[in-house]
Amino acid sequence: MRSLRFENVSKSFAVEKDRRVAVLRDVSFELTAPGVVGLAGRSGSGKSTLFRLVNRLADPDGGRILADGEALGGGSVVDLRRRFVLCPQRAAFFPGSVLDNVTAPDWMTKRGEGDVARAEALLERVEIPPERWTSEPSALSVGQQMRVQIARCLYLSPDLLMLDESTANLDPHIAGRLLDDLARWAREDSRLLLHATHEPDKLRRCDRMLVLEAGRIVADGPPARLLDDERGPAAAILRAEAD
Amino acid sequence: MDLHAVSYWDLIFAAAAMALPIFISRYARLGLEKDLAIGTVRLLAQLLIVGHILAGLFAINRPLPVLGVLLVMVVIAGYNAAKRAEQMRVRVVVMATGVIGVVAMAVCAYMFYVVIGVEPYFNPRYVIPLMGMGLNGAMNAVAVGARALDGRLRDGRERVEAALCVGATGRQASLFAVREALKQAMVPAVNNLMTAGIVQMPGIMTGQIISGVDPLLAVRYQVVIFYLLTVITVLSATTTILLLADSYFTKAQQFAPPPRAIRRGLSPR
Ligand SMILES: Nc1ncnc2c1ncn2[C@@H]1O[C@H](COP(=O)(O)OP(=O)(O)OP(=O)(O)O)[C@@H](O)[C@H]1O
Ligand SMILES: [Mg+2]
Repeated sequence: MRSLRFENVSKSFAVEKDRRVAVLRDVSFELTAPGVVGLAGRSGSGKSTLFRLVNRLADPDGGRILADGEALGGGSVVDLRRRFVLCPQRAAFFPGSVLDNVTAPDWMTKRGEGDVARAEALLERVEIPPERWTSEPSALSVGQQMRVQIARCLYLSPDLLMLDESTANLDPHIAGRLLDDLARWAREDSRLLLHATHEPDKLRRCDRMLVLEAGRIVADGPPARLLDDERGPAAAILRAEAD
Repeated sequence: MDLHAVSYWDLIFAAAAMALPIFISRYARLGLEKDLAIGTVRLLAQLLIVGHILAGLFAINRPLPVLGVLLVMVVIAGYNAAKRAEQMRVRVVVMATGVIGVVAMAVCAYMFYVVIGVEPYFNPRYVIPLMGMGLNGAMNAVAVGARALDGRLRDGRERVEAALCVGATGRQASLFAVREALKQAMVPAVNNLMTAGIVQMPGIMTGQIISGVDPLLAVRYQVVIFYLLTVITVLSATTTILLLADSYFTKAQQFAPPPRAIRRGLSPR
């Protein structure tokens, strides 16, 4: 893909009968592929909500989202979700083994039995030991479950991959190797990797970072510059998170 | 028929026994005394009215009044099914009424005209009580099915959305919930088949035996009724669940469960 563009996007939710809370307000930015983009922001600032608008698990109330210059919502939503893939913040699995869960994008949607060899290669890539491939996912550790979920996303060969704190439970070495691998994967094939995370060292691996604060983009630029600016919003937010 | 009649005086003695649960409720401070007292009187009044309506229908012995009463029963059953499912939405009430009406009528028609051979075809002595049982079975099944599906889908939100995220349609993503809800709705019906007669004496059979009917004839009646009630239960639960599952998704295959109804008063939870 070439680009993802938000134009004055807003999103609110009804909390009571006549009350709505604004979760994203007037969000605009343009990302160009290939690229690795970090999305930072306090808990509740709207990161997950922003991701869910991209794969249309929800639709904005105002503004437009364009992929390669075309508004989302023109074509089939199912095809869109298989191209712009969200790795949800909380892992969830389907009945079956770890392998079945990686091939789910095929069998679940009645596209075929699933390509087991491909799934195995992906599980190797996210460092799940082969003796766990036939286990039920619930028997895996939390960090392993997240990696199985990442493998399931990669199985789709997405143009755009959104990791919603998907490496939060991994030890720094595995996380580092995985993120290096994904960055290479994105840069080689003109893909976009979006990574929502609170961790400064993971943000530093990105080419660019956006900072969300109460539903607005308050900073946008190279991670090193934003994070090292002691008086800037990014540093303030991440400092507040750490306390 | 050699029938020992229950007189209105006898009813008063029976009602006197209801003082015991009321006493227990007061003693244990359960706060159910009022409901129990009202229930005692209300049951009597309700059934007396029903008795009079039945007597009237038997006396008139025409098809249209029977059909009218049946339709009223169907609507009440539909309304109550939605209420018990805690989903008082127009869509659910209409759906429940439709499912209950169509399923109960179709299955009962089979029972009336193929199995029993009711004559004349509208004979209220058979049609009203048996349809009543069929409607009751359908009403319970609709309520249980709607409730089970709602619970599975809401609790399984993450699983549903994980499926949507890999390109599943709402229908594919909710398949697990549909199957689990179906099972939950069907298990009691299956269990009933296993324990009938051993643990509990089915109502119709008991009534017929007390009224002096040959026990073997009463048993055959009861077996017919059991089979058909099972069919009614399974059919109504299945249609309800299949019809409702789609309403949890938007056209864009987004998971959007309807807002939860606000619960008031005595609720099962
Ligand atoms: N379906 C919903 N209904 C009502 N409010 C919602 C809904 N989804 C999200 N919100 C609200 O939107 C706000 C942003 O939520 P979101 O999940 O996007 O935050 P986040 O930045 O991902 O937080 P975290 O870092 O904790 O994951 C929160 O206040 C949340 O309560
Ligand atoms: Mg989040």
